[in-house]
Amino acid sequence: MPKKTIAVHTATGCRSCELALLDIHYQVQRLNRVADIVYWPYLLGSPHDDLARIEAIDVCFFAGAVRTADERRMAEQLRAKSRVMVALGACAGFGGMPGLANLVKETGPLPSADPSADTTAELPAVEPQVSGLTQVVTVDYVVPGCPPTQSLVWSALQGVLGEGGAQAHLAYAAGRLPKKIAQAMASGVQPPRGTVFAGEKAVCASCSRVKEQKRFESVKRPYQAYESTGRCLLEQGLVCSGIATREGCGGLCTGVGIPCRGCFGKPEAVYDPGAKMVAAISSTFDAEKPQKIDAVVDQFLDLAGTFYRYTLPTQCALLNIQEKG
Amino acid sequence: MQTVTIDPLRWQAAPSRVILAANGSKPAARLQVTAPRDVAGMARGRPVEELPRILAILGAAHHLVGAQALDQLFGVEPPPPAVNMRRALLETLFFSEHLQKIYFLLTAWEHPFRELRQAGRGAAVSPVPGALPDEIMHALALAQEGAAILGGRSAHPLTAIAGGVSRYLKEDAYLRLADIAEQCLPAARRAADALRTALLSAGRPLAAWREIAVPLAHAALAPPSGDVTGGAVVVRNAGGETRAQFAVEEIGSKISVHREPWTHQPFAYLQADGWPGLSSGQPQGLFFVGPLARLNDGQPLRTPAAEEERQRMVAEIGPFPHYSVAAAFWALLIEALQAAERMADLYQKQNLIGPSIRSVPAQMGSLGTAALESPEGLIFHEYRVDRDGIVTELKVLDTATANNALRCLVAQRIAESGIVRHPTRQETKSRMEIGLLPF
Repeated sequence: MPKKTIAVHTATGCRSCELALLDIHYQVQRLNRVADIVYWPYLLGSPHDDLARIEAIDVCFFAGAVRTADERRMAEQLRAKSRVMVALGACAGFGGMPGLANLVKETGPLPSADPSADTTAELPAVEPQVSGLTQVVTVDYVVPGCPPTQSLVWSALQGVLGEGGAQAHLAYAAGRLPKKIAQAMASGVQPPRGTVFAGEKAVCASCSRVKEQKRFESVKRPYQAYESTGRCLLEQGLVCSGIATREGCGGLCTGVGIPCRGCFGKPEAVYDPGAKMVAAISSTFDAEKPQKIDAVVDQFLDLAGTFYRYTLPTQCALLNIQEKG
Repeated sequence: MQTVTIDPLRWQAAPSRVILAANGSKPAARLQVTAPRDVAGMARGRPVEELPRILAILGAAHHLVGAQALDQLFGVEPPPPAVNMRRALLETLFFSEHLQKIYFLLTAWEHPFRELRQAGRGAAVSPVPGALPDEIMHALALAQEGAAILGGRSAHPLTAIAGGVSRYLKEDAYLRLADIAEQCLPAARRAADALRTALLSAGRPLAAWREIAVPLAHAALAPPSGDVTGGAVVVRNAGGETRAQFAVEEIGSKISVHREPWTHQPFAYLQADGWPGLSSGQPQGLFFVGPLARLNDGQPLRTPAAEEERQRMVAEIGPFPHYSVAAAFWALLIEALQAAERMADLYQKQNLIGPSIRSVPAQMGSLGTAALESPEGLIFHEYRVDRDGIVTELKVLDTATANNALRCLVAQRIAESGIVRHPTRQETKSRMEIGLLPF
């Protein structure tokens, strides 16, 4: 059976997602047992012209948000050539942190092509808004995270290549994923289109911290004193987005005492992560009088930048409604 | 005017290409970054305590310098175990980021996805010992595990916060760290021996890169050879003499940023000299940072294996300062050894425990600044905040900006060096990629 062909590309981002593919370490040099990597500019230096010559790609891993006209063109070209398109990481999946720039009307002194200057070195046009890959082309799978964890990357490789592999590897990968994905992988077929290679519930479901159903009177910020014990951060008054974020990381951030900021995007059951957070937090206020509630509400700062830290372009329902008119 | 675009370049943090233009007898090379990063757009308006996490998008060391800037903003001093934990993480980043560049270098000759069995068959055309990429990948995996233990995650660490770190390590982590440190030093030694013999020594492939050099002023924290954090920035001219010295807090006013319309990557220069433009002479005002800039002070290193390697380098290519691509690769090896030696020390349990790991801030200032020697060189953060601690202004010096002028000049130098030999487009591309990799 011919090996599958893989392409890897990053648009606006930090390369961590591409490097996450390398972080499978010992498996790196064995990748060619199951796949031929035919296009990877960062690691192989594949020229863009190569893409025109490639007839079809089995699986494309696309990382990074879309910020320039060139990146949009690349996304469209790779989509057209690829049987399976995977959004790798939070930037491709949801817009990521670069998407926070959408909150700023003036984006600063970004240079743009200057026709009066040296025309041999024109820059690609910068788009007015940062977009996630999922807003630019149809995406078949998403591997969330900033960056995706090693186990999820390996799971996704096994899953989308549909090649199985060593039983131990397969069991390791499938054990981290919901049943329907694990079953597909065990059968050597690709999981259903639209699958997100992560859990189905919220981070809270796998967070190791203890929830005591306590309520708080004032908001704490991470630089202030809070208990270093294993108690739920939200119940300590810290804004933690775990309740509005898809699980799969195993509570990586909360496990080290740092509040979740939502790099896995929202779970399926949540419509809007910001709205979910507002509901979740307000239900834990220990205040009943309007003045007291107002006082607590006033302590929250930068809600958009916090609740949509990694997802503003794609998961903020309010912005999407405005855009659609 | 005939132009050739070399696009894309491998191993670049930002998407980059080189445009070569034949203008008479002298080719002109333009190194262009084609996408903006705009960290200011991401960071302005955020609560300041979020910045170490947000700015880690520029590299893991930015998380640490961000936490240092918060220490200053909030007027707190982290307790010794927290300082050691941060330093242990930083040394781990030195080790892993330098080794990663070395791994990339090896893939210049060896396809990264070729199996070892096949690599063995192709060994005749590759100067790289067959098992070396796998060994380096193994050491990288270990170092990343160490970074994840210390920083919560290896790629975008989390645990450095205002006044210290967010948590103590678990008991089993100390044992694992000791195990990792024990394996990293021999791995670094083996990599250094193999690379020196196979690539760097006279007559080997990288020896030719001794000719590709851009003598330029260089900046590092003082004392660069001893500590990675310091109180002053020292700028030395290409001859090695001290040209300027200023406090970390002054970096924002002493170093300015220039923008050109043909690249998204700004250029750092010394404010006092003004922007001199890019020319292949020794323009006043331009400087570079990084491993070579640190070693160019010529001082002995404090760890034995790294100092031994530094002496080997001096014996082979002469005393510091150096400016060549070959020297820059050698500097990576020396610093990887140094990092492995320091990891062995800092990973000791007694350095990471104590009665407290965090000093809780009692007040908030309006300005926080900090600088750090990251694996790729000097980096700097400056935050201004309003009374709620919301970021109103920030200045960030990253190594892509600090070294942009040098990298452009290296690209130009490589283009010029190709005139006589008329290399193919693929050869030119490969030369550009190798030449830019260590900076």
